[in-house]
Amino acid sequence: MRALRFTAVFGATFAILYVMAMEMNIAAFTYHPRLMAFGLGSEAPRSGPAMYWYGWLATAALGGLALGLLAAVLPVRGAKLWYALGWLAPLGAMLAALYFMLPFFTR
Amino acid sequence: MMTSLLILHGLLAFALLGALTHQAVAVAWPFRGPARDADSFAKRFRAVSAPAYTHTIIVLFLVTFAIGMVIYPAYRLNVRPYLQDYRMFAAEGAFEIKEHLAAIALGLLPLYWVLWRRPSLESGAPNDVAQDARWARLAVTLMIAIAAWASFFVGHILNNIRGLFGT
Repeated sequence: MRALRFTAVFGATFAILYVMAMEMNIAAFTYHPRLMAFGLGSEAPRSGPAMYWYGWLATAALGGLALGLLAAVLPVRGAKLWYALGWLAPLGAMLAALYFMLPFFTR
Repeated sequence: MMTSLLILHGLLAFALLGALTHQAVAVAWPFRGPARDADSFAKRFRAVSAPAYTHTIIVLFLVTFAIGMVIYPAYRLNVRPYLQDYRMFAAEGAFEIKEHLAAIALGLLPLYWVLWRRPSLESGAPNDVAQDARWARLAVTLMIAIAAWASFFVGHILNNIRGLFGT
């Protein structure tokens, strides 16, 4: 049951934090591909484009790991909750991500 | 180098789609009855042992994703500016969708593994909990499959626009 709690909360938190990080540009780090250099946090482009996607993944993974571990150690019962949370939150996040991308198709 | 990795990325994605589609169909539309009674292509497709694909899918997903991470900077430096210069915003947006769906599917992999590793989660559980477990397994598998299919289509289309030697 602990594995289920951890993975369900990790997946849900990862998905929600990823969409938040993407929309608000909260990147744990920034990659500057032209310079092949990393910077901490969401940095402005230095030379050429700045890539935040890796940083968004790290933000989501760190948040998911923290909350997942918390859920695993807390004595919370109720398998129904974890099963539902595990797929409903990522589904909502996927739909939100699609919604946020609409401007690309309406320009 | 990048071109080789791009081709490998596509080939692995193709293998991933095969495994994921078999598993998704087998769990969403299972063949009821003994496998020897599966006497048509569609029935045999549905009658596969869905759990047997789990580890292959996880490994293929992770390797394909990792290669995608390596070749992504080449896209940002060489392909995306081209799409923007030619005002191909739908293609650019489609790639954004690909990266977001793939990222969320990546976060689902641990739960996917737990749900498929322990189909016995349902055994001995009350009926409603067993039903929830089956729904969760179906939903998570379908979401990963949809993300993989969408990513494959988008990757293929972008490759047609400016792929192999554009990177």
